[in-house]
Amino acid sequence: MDILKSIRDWSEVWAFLIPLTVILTKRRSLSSDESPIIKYVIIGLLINIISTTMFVYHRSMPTFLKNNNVLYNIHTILRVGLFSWYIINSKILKSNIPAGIILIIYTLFAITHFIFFQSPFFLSTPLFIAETIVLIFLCTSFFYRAIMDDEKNWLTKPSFLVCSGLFIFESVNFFIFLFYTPLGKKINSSFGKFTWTIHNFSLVFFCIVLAVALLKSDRQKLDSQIAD
Amino acid sequence: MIDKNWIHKLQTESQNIILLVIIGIAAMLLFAVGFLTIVVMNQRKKTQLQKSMEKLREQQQNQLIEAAVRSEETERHRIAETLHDEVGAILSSAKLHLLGIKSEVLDEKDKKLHEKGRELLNEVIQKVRGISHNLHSNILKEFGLNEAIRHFVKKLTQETIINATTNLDDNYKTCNADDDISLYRIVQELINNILKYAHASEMLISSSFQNQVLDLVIFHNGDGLTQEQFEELRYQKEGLGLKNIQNRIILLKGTILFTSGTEGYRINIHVPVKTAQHE
Repeated sequence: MDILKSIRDWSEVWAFLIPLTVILTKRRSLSSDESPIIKYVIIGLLINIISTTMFVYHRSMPTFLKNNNVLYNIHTILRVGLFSWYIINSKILKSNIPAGIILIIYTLFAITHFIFFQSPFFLSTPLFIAETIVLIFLCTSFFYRAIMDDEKNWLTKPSFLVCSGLFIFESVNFFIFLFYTPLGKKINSSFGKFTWTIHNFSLVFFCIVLAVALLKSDRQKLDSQIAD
Repeated sequence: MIDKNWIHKLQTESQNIILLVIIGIAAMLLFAVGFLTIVVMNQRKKTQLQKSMEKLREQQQNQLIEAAVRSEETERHRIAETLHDEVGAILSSAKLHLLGIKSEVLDEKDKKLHEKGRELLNEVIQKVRGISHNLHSNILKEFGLNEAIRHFVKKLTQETIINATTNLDDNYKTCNADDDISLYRIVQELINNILKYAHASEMLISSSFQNQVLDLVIFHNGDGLTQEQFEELRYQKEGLGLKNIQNRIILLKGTILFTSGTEGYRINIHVPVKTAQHE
């Protein structure tokens, strides 16, 4: 049981090791298009190592290191920033204006929220919900353009796989983020653990999808080099 | 008791909310998976449609090529027959009439004109016969591709400085007469081009037939074409003959490759042969 608990507690760390392994073994042959994903995996892993360490050893941590919420807030902003960059960089969107507008609104919301409504040291469920809305919107735009594009087959591209994984991840976590803080307070901490376990499962799934997308990117680059 | 009731109510409410959250998560997951399934199926359908359009386009192109080639052969055959049956007959008749003139009654000047007339008439009869045979080879029809190539090479090179030899695999037997005509035309065109442009002194035409595949190789020591030059010239006005060769190769579902080496230039023609069973 202790082993299972440890696996669950550290799942936000070892999940990121899956795509990291691909990055480290294939780093020379990965396309520059995958740079936002590589940055997300590395920075996300570092953030999660620190936040999980603070969580697991919180009893022995000094007071100023007992609260890891700010790291989760940074992580959500990182996810929005890097995956928005990745989707816009895929050059599938007919116009970057709607995506630009929504990102500006998100940025203004994040700044306003932390200045006027909530300290960054509290887990910001509105920010998490904003993340799911922004990324679900961008993923839906991606899929819509993929359907409308008669020239390219986006199904074979790594970006389709990344957006599919991201879409499922954000869809599953929408309700978790929506009800986490208010219901966690109302019911008990076991509910919080339960919903966060689902979140961790979805994160592991998402990281596996990222790893497969990175492998596909490497294989496509290899195929195009052979063709040349 | 009130406390117990309140706790029980809270527990029931908690369970309901947890159930609601689980249903919400499941619903979102189902929505996401369903949406992705629709996108993937739509893309697959589009890809299949594109593939079938591509296939239809290719089929149409092949049909056009086939129609062009067949109509060219039909026209050649018609012209060959007309030349042989009509023009040839008239020229032979003219020769007979000319031969009917007794040269003894002619003076020296008229004798010379008569002789010249006979020579020219003989020459034109030979040329018309040659053009007719070139347009439609009876040897190809009666004796097959190898004999037709041997005869063509011998006839074409006998009055030139080029030393042409053939080394053809007699295991090859005609399976499809139309395919043989296409192959013969390709060889004709290539050899004519070599004679016209390559300034070669040696030429070898060889073939091998194995595993239902015919490999024809034309080698010469003159100035030949590289594969890149062939690809380029096909699309130019002067490259109509090469375009014709390419069309026939497409029709035969074969390949043609132009290569060069230190000794000379090589043209490799690789054609799968359709047997009666495979058609």
